[in-house]
Amino acid sequence: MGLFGNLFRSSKGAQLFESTYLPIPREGPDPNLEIPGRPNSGPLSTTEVKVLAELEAAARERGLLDSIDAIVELARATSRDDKRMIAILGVALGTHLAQQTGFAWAQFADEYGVAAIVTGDAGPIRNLSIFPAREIFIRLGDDAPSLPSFLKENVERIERFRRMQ
Amino acid sequence: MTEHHIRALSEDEQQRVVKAIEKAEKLGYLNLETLDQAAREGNLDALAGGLGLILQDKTGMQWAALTDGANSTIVLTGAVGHQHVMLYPFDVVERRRSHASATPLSDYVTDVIQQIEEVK
Repeated sequence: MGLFGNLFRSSKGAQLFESTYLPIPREGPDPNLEIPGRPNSGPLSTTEVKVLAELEAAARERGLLDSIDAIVELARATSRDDKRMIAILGVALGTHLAQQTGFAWAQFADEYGVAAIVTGDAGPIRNLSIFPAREIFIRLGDDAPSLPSFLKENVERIERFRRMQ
Repeated sequence: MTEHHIRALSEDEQQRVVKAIEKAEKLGYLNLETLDQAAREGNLDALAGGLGLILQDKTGMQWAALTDGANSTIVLTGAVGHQHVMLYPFDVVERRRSHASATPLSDYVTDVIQQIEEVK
């Protein structure tokens, strides 16, 4: 599947990019997902916790949890077909976000698969959800240097929103 | 009969609410007086964001999406007594733009609070 197939497979708002889903097959039909594009988020399953822990270990090994600069360097050199590296980078970015905001990992499921999200309380938006792997995916290559400002802007937004209430 | 569901905001919907709140903050649409003054020509999403913030402050309701499977709309929702109440900040500001005779947003907020008190 070409790049544009990946990006524009569906115009539905909830559609993520294919390579940003976790490598977990959906276990049977989920009755909550009968309505196309219906977002459904919740706590991580045991399988998802294991997959995330493994990806986090791989991120730590590469020094990605120490600094966002290491993420930028690796994202610059990663191709859009490298699903595993996108997942590792996503977990690294999400871990930075979670550490700086107190947000937690959760799962987001739609009819296409399961994605790992970082979610938490942002004042007026009680469950603000960020899709770290997607943010990595759209910034691979030359756009990688925008990752630190993405992180900073989101941390600042969450802090600002929390002060509103 | 069409069945309606409340679900979490999709990514796009969440982004719209975030931007609406940020615009409301930037334009100072955080009190009813300013909202009423801006209702005629102010930015609609910013007005909805400001109205939503005011309603949240008074009712503790949360942003969500109401869907019938085909179409969705952004709502504020919460439990009042034994009932589930839904408010439509984006639709409310838009309706007031298209109907010249519509009541001020401050009246709408007063009505909502009054009705919630009655249900309680």
